[in-house]
Amino acid sequence: MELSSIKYVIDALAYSLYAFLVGGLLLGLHRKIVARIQGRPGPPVIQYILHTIKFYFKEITFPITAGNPLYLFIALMSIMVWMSALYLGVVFNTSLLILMGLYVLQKIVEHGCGLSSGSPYGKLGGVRSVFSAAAEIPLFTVIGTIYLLTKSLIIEDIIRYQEIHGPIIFQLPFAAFAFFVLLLSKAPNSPFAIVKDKSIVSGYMTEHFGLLESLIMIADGIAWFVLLWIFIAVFIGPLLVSDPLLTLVGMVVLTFLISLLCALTPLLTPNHSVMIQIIISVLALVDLLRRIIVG
Amino acid sequence: MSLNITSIAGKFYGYIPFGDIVLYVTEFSAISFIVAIFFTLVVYFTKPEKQLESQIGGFDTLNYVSLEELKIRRLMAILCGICTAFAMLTGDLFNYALFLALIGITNIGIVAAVKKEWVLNAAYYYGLIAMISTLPLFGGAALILAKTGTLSILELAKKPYDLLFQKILYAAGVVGETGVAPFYAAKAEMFRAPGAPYILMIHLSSLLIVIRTAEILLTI
Amino acid sequence: MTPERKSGIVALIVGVLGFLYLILYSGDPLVAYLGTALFTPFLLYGIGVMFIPKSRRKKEGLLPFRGW
Repeated sequence: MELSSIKYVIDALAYSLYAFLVGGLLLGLHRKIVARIQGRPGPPVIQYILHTIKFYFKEITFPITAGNPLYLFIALMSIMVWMSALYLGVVFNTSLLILMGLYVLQKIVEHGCGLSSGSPYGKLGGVRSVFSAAAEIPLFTVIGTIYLLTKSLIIEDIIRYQEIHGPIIFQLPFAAFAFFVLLLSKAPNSPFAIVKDKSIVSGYMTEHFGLLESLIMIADGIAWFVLLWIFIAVFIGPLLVSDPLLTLVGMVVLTFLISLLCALTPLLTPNHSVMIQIIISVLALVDLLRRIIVG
Repeated sequence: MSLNITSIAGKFYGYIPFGDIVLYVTEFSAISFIVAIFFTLVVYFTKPEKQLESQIGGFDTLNYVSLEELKIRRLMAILCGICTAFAMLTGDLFNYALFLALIGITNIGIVAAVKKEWVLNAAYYYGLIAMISTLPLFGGAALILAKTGTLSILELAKKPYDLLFQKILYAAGVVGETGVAPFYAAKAEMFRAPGAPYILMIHLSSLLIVIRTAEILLTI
Repeated sequence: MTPERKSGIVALIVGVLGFLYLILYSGDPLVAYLGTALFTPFLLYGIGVMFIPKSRRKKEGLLPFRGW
């Protein structure tokens, strides 16, 4: 019996609760800002968390079309993915590559949610999520450009690099832009949010209702926190990351910017969304090759 | 351990000398290995989903996956999962290319048992692309061997070599073999086949492979 | 017992056993943290299923009007 391991477990749980609360509040704020820009009063800021708690006490049944236990497991996996990302990224500051691997697993979750339910709406959401995998290519080029600049992908080293040389956002503005588009594509109601388009009911989450939807919403809250944190840590650096309060301020500002964009732009059709993401990824690739060849 | 590996893939935990095949374990490869194995287990236990097809002027029908079809597809999916898991650990460019080729074959195998014309067509086109892209893949590995005298990632990471052209060839091979972005048209049709867990395995393997390739190309 | 409740009990057992293992045997912080990430969802799901209210329908677990 080791006392230290109890401490680790409690720390871990407390951290993920914190991440969920902050992420949930920010997503609520996002809805509020979008509503205000469109001239509606909008739901209260805590609406996202209220929804999560409400769904947690709702009944579920397994649809006859569902393929179990994948149908159930994929909802659990979505929390596993983002809690691991939270610990590996925010707590242990490990490699950016692992975080990108976990981000890619989010695609598996979306695709799996849609496919395993056997519903045509879910399936469409899942296939759209596969198509929008074009958004991941800028990710790898971003990783490549950052590696060329800092000679390391460990987040700790990247933060240390920025202590000396200043924020990376000024040195690699295009990489920051590509990553920002990735953040935007994860936000609800964004121009790239084709997986949760209302024309296909709720996208991949259509058949995951009640308790399972609550679990996926918990994961989404943590995901929003983690993605914003990664953006701030990698591109702005110790200026904001060193103090949790300043990090929160940075997250609020980023959420505000993203909500502004979400409110002012229409939802693109799948073809246009994928084409724009492919254009951005090609530009990021050209940027990477130029940096490799010029040196 | 050479700085290149630890600064990209996290902590280095050691290597497993396995005859000719050297496997090495880093933070990144350990996590992706566990994910791949874990998912293979889930795929093994999952029953395929039943797609609901609406009919005009009649009752909706469920699309069942027959037991015969299920058996061969499950076998292929499990093989695909095991290949992906060990492709995460391997420390040799040639073995990695071999694993990739095997993953391509199993990917076709997963959908080959589906008796739907469009799925088989997509699998055929994907197979053509995968076959063509073995040339740059193995060619890239051969050129790296010719230039540096070794295929081991651990050895290649120690010294800085100028391998830009070879890396581009190798990357082109991987892109074709996993069927990402430009070749997606063929593969996306394959995702429409019924049988969720097996189709998901195709997706998981290609995504994990792409990340691992990014790691390898940055390391060497 | 409905399949939902059954899956919930299995998840609860997996979660509790996992947490017991983490608390009793893991010393490494990385293992403890990642193990928490692995087993918390099982626990959340297991507890959540226990909160599902008792159904007044005849056939428990089968929602009516599911498009059939």
